[in-house]
Amino acid sequence: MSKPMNDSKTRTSFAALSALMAILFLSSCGPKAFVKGQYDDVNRENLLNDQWSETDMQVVVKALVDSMVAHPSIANAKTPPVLMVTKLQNKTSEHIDTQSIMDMVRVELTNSGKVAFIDKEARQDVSDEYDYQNTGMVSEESKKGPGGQTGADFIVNGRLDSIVQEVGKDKSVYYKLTLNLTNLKTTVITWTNQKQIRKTFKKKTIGL
Amino acid sequence: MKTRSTFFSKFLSKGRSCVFLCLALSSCATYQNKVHDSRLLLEQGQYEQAIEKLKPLAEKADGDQLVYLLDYATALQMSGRYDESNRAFLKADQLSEALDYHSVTRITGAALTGEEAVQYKGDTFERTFINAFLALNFLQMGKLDDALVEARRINEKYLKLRGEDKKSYELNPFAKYLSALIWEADQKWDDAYIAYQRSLQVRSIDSQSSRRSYSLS
Repeated sequence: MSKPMNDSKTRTSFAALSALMAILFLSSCGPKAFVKGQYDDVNRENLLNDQWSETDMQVVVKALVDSMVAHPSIANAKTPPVLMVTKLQNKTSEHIDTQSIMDMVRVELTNSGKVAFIDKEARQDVSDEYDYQNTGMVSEESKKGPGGQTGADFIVNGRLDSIVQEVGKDKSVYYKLTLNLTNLKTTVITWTNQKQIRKTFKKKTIGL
Repeated sequence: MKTRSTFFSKFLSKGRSCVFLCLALSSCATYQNKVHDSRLLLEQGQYEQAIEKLKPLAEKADGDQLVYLLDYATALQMSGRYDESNRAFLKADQLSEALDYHSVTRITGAALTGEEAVQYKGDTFERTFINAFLALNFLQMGKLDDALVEARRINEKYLKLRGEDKKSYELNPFAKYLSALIWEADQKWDDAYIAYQRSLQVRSIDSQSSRRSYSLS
């Protein structure tokens, strides 16, 4: 029985052949997609990538809302103050939906029961509806008409900053959310606080 | 005594031709071949047809997706579809960050088969150009805040590349200059001044050391 591997020429050509086949087979085999999902606890810490995550949003909003509600101007108010949410300025280097953060602030504050909010986004729709109600189509008793809206007492605004440090395989991302509660009449900042978080990352191979 | 079995010699001859056929087919259509028609259409101003041709190439998730994605995003930008162009550019940005490595397998493969086997990673300055194009799109859409985010990204990449001691053209002075314009549009004079100064510094190092002009065309 002949032994094919004994011949050096055969051996080298077989080695070259197997190397070539290996390279060809190293390309992916078949299409891939994300399937078979399962529900996950929203309050679980989730830092899947190095971007702003929902856990960051939950942590900063909770800290600042707790701080605001504990402040004497809200906690010791005789009637619930009326607040209005304006802009959260994004000064980070990521495209973060700041409206989403302010929505969460508004929800958490409303759920605390200590404050009330007026709806700034609905103003155009409300104005259109007033115009319609005044056309004569709507009964007099149920007309809402202009002149009945509540004026806000305070404005809530803020800024989100970040500092990113990246050297070689290490990266640290620092966020700071600052919120202000400004008196609408006097523009005095009644309450202001910040929440800082820092995340560190290591560069790893992402398996495909 | 036979030094080679007949079965093995048959396998080699058949296998060899089969393998070479596979290799020939895989490197048959190069990047230039695939985008040639689209490039002509773009030059002639027929953006929609060019986009249609580039779309399947850009969506195929293989090793060279980045280069086709960049062409697709630029074609969308030329046709005025800034929002879609940005989505493609953002994906390209993520991809270029993930592909910032050297695949030993592919480089070895490239030595045997051809340069096509190596994934397209994008040049260092090209990766910053992605952010510059994103900023231009956001400015066209009137979104100054998003353009500012891209200016900050450009700055981050500039600092990282400067830390890695890259050549001056790789620091992308155009992107730095663009970020200065965006800062100025936001009336942040200090940041604009610093960015203008840095882009000038990078530019003058280049002309001093290599006497090659870095053309912006």
